[in-house]
Amino acid sequence: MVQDSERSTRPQAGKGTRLATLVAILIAAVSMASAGVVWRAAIAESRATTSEREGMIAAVKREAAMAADVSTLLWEARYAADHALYLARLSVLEGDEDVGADAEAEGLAVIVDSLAGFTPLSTDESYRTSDGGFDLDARLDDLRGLNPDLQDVEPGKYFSEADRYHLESRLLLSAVVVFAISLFFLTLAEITPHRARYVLAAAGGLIFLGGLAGVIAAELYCVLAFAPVG
Amino acid sequence: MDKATSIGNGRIGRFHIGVTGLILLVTVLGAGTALLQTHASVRESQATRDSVVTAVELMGALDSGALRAAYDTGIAVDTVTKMMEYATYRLAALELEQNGRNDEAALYERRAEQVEAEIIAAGALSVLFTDDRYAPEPEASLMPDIDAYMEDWREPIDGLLARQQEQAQAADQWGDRADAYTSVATVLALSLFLFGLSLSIPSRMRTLFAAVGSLLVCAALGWTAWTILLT
Repeated sequence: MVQDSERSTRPQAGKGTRLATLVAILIAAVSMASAGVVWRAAIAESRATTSEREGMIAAVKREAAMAADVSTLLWEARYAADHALYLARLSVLEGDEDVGADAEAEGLAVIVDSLAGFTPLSTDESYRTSDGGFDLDARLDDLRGLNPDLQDVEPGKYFSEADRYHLESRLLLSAVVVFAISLFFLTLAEITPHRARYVLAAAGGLIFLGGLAGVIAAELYCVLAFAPVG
Repeated sequence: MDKATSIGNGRIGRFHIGVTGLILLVTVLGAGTALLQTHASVRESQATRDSVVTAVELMGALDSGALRAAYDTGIAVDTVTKMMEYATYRLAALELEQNGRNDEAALYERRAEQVEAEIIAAGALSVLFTDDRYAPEPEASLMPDIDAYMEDWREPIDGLLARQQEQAQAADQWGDRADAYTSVATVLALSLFLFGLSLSIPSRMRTLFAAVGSLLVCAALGWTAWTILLT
């Protein structure tokens, strides 16, 4: 009688031990996967920080270049304005037949020639407006064109890249929550003595697989959907 | 005796399972809180970044705008000064002519003509004279409308300033949220400590530890809900 009872309980005990071992291995796998995903998320966050820093440096560079170009433009405009005023006086003197006016015109002509060399605003007709003023916007565009590297600085592309890494990090950390839920069921399966442990173990395993699929999908999405900054 | 031990062991088993379940629940809540904290930190980081970039743009706009304003007002001041100079020469020429000193009067007339040519040339050099919004009314005033010009100049700068302040405020708010989630995670860690302690203590004190741990979990949940809904 006793021998029969032992025979019937041994296979059950063996099954229970195998399940416990399997669940323990799954728990270890979930823990390892969580650590790996957190590591990937930390790398993504670090890259996001780097991209944000580069974006901010680009923004400062862009504004500094713009301010330098505007400063150059406006001192050029100041010289061009002086040139225009001397030219106006000269045109009046040149129409005068007085000897003194001639002498004054000669002196002014030297000043006008000297000032003309400072900026193309004085000499290049393409920078003139129809009413005789200066097309400062056109000159600013040309000044900016002299430094194409600084003109093309665009912080937005770095910020887009940073956003992409932030998204990757958040998606990966969402998977960690899924792993934690899987761990919840697996640990309950490990400590529960009832037959429910099979259901709990299956639920934990499936949730873990779902989390893993989510991690792979998140990584693939971030690689495929966003092109890296060149 | 055997029955009592069995009952007692059964109670111990249930307690352990219950506390283990709570520990697992706290683990899941901790992971969720970490996710919320990361989300809030990312939003704080993005808002801070936007705020800094807007501040840089604001500085650039102020710098460029101030240079342009200095140029335009400089031209305006010079032009108005020349207008007064022109009037002075014309008056002097008139006085000399009335006193019969025609040669000297012609000299002043010539000077006035030169200044007039400069005034006409200067009138095309600044938006303060070419733009109808600021140009002086003929026969009414010599000075362009500097106030209107400055108002228009400040408008985009005020817009940038308002945007920068909004972004900085958003960064503060997300930062506060992130801090709150960190505090919630700390409370959850404390509850984990109490649950772990309750599993290792054989006396009745373990129930107290588990109860306080549960209260802390409830507080953490309430705090999280309050942070999500009200801040």
